[in-house]
Amino acid sequence: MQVYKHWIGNILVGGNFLLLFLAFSADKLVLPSFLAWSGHFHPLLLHLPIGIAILSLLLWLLKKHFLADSFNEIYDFSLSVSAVTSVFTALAGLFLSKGQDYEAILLRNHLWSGVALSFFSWFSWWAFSNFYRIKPFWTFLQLTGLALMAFVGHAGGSLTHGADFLNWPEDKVKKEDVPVQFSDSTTYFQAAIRPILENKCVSCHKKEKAKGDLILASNPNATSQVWVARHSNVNEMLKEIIYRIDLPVTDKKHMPPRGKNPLDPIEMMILKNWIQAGGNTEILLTSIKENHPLFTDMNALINVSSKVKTYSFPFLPSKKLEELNDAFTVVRQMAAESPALKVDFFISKFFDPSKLDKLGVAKEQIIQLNLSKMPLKDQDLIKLQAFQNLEKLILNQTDITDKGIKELQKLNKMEVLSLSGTQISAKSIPLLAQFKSLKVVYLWHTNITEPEYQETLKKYKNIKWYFGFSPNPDDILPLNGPILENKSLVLAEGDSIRFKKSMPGALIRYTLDGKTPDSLTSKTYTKPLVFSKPVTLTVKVFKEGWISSPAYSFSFFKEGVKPDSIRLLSLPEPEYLGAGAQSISDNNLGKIDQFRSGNWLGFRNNKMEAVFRFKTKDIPSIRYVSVHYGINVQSYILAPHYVELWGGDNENKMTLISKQVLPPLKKENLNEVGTSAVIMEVKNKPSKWYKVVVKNVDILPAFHPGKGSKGWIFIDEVFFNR
Amino acid sequence: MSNPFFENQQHVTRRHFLGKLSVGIGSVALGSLLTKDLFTPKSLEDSIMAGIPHFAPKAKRVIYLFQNGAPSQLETFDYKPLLNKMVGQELPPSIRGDQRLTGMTAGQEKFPLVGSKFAFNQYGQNGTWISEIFPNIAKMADDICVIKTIHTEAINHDPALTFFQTGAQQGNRPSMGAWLSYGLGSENANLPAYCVLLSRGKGNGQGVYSKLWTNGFLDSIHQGVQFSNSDEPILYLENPDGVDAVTRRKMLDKLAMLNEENFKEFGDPEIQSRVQQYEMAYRMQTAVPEMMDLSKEPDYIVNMYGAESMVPGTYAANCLLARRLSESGVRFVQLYHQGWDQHGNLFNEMSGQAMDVDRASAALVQDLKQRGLLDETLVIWGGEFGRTNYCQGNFSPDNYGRDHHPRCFSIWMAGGGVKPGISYGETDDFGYNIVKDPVHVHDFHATVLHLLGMDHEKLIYKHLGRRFRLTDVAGKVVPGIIA
Repeated sequence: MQVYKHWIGNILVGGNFLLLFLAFSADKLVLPSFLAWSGHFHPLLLHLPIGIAILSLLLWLLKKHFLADSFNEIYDFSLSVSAVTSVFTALAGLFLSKGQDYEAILLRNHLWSGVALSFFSWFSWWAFSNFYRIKPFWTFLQLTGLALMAFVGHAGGSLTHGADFLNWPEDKVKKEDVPVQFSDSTTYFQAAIRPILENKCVSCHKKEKAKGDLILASNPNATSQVWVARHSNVNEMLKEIIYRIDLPVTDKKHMPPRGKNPLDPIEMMILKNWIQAGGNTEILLTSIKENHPLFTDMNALINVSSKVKTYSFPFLPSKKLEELNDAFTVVRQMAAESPALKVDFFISKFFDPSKLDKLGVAKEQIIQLNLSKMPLKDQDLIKLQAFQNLEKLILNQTDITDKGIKELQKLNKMEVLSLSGTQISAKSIPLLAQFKSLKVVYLWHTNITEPEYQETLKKYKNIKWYFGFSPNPDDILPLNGPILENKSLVLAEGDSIRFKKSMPGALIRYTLDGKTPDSLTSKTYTKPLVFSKPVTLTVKVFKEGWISSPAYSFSFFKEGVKPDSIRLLSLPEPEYLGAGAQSISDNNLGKIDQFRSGNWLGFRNNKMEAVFRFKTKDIPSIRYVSVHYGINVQSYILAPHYVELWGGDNENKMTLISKQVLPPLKKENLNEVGTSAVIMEVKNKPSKWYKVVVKNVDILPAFHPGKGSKGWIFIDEVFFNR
Repeated sequence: MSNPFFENQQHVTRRHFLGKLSVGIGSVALGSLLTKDLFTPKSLEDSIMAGIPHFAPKAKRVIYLFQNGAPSQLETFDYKPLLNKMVGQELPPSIRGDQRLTGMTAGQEKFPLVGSKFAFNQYGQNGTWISEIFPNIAKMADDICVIKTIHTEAINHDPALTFFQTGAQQGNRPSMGAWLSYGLGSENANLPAYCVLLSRGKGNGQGVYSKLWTNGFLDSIHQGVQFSNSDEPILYLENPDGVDAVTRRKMLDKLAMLNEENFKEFGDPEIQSRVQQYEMAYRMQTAVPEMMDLSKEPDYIVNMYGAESMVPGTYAANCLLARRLSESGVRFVQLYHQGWDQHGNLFNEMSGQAMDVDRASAALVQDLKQRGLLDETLVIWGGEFGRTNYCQGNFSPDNYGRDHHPRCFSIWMAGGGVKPGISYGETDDFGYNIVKDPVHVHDFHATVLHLLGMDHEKLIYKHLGRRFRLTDVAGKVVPGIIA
């Protein structure tokens, strides 16, 4: 036993005096790297003396539960270990402090109180064998030890985690959340610059720490000059700040240094712009006007920091708020922290003016009201007077007139009023101009005429008037073609042709002979059309005051009789095989921009030759055979050169029934894209076999980009109609 | 026993149950010690669910005119006369830096610079540069905020588009509209909060697909609803022959009862989403015809949007429809206009594309304005990235193309609390790099959310053990474009 005590005694003498010596010469101390490294164990070691001291205290309190001899030995041992770990902890701490930038005062406090604690622990161990029977003295000693430990610990914690680390949580929150209150005497420095300095700079550049001899002291009560530099030349220092924040982060001189909270780009911009504008700390926010270099920054800042416009009226209890809402009335809080409400009404069918009375419970809170499209009458406007805090009122497309406007004059806080699409006339303008707070009025599509607009703009300049778009009488627009409602151009038995107007009040006129319809004599479309044979309708839309639409042609086909077999005698081009021979007899037309869709057969080197056979006992009496084809002249896809129809009861002995040669391509049709058909009438008796031959154009004309080469034909359907 | 759910129930033994229970109770107790307010109802998610903005919003709704395929900034808003002077010269390597290229031009031996064939002019009080292909947008220069320094990380259409829509390149995250629907709810419960309209120009196009308007891991009621291109934007809205409104109501009530029973048994929240969707569809039967009703609008609205606005499925018609939807309280209307991918034949294709969108885009902004709605509606116009300042493929001054360029491009925004009449940010004289005020896609998202009264760092959803945001872990509000 004695041996270990002897050793401990020696360690404590040596350690504590070394500690004292080093602490006195701390300023001049230069550490070998190994010792500096050992300092990193300080945060680990410091828990040992704390734990053992607490253990000692517990032993002391529970003394009577131990045998007297055992207690003495254990208690003595724990005190000695506590003293040894204390001195090592203090030494490690001293070494650690050399490698870091700590605030001078905090560091000094921590260092010297640490030294004191180490000596105190040593003393406690020595005193135990001599004085512990004097109970009050011993208790006093224990409590002193605890207090000292608490002080050392607090100073240490403040060093590593910041001075307010151990503060009570609420205090901290308060400190961060103090908003900047703008008033007439607020300086730009207070509003914009000081918050940045305080958040990002002051922790190192303050009186207690003064890194680089720069002090940016903070005194929240002062209005302007609250910081000083030890540099005699403030301008030099400001230049230095710009220089340093602009350096790359990796540069040693960059500020804030790597590892500290960096400036974000906006803060950097604000700080730089302010310094470049002269770094004036006294300039007032109110004196920064449009052309001032800080104007943009100030606006941006105030906008971002300004949160909710504050209102003094109370919140509407949430239950009442809920009761006001239904699927067609939406009452919402403007923002989470604001009692103000906005109200929208939807779907006129479910609107009833009494709904406005119901809103009475929230008459204080409602600041925005949107009644557009609701069937609101002049006599209902008086109900709006209840909403004295109303700031924005939208009455677009309601039934109100000049008569009702006077009811709105009592809305003293109303700033924005929208009356677009109503029957308001110029009569109301002088009255509106007298409204107390009114700033903006929207009057598009009302009964106000152009000269009246101009006069209003000149006469009443206190209000912004918006009259919106009015059509230029010279700006006459073309109408669009009619909308064909049929999904397919192939009509089944009994299907009608249905068009929809693209514009209310327009007339659809059509012809059946391919001529362009005119606005006087052509037939007018009034009801769905039914035809007994394939037709091509040419359609055009007319309306007064508009340019008539281009003419559109639609070729309609009756669903054909399906032959029992189809055979192609010639091969289409390999890329355009479609779905084989069936493609041309499936009652599906192809789309003009989808030649590979499977509906089309494409031919270039061969003409199309297809043989159709009807096996049925009573062979259908076919009256029309139509060949439907696509055109895209620029892509060399032209109408056929000619189409032949052959027929007979024997495949090998068919006779020519009909041949149509199509007119050659004209220059004006060079850009034509579309579909068309050749319709051939059959007067012969019914045949078992038919053959259709479609020949492509062999030589493209000279005006075509592909002159001299062969044209394509694309066929999507051959119809056999009774 | 083919139903996996029942099968699973069979496998839960008493031991399992008690084991789980003990861990559960333990972790709840521990959790409540560690987290203050854990059991108090006012959690962040709760306040999100209430659909109330975090702070006073400037915008209440968004109309996003997405120019799919990426229109060239150099022919639209970013005027670079140097490129016209240096036509045919090589892009200096110092400007290109370490920018990666797409597979389409990576093998190209030369990168000849090419300037815009379209003339530029200055418009509005602040002299915003706008190309001659947008005469109508130019007329409203004082209403729009052109951002020239948007930049992205993706270099190809799909990831770039997905990044713009969802804040991540890979997909499977909720898109912007879904986040807003989740954060702010629908204004009008009778219409979906998030609607999608598609149109297609004649230029070289790129696909759009439903993953772009996905709800991701959010509840499926937040998914974008794609409208039809036909003259009936919503198909099958009318009751079938022989079914009147009363019958339909009765049927829905019975169906809801059955679903409720099912929900009690399985507890799958998607069942309730389904019930809500049936109910909305029912209410849409009244809401949509009213929205589509033209009788209260003058004929000359067509003069504003252009004659094409009468042809369903065109960009102009979609703009007009977007205004109606937005006016009726739809939180987020997303348009896509395809055909802006000009790798070649740029001059002709861009002229055509611009014809499609110029008049209608301007009309939409002006139409909102004349109804007093522009200040509460944010309109955004832009593509997924920019285009290179050099020519793709064989260079000829008359016919050129441009490859993808993520480092800088231009978009514009109007209304909804955006500072009107300004150009924000600057690119270098080559139109290749940003020299001042960059705006990353995350920053753009953060700013849009800010305008809608949402703190992008607080609009979160917990999924797979992690809290997700539209801006992921980045994004800064750009104060310079906020009015």
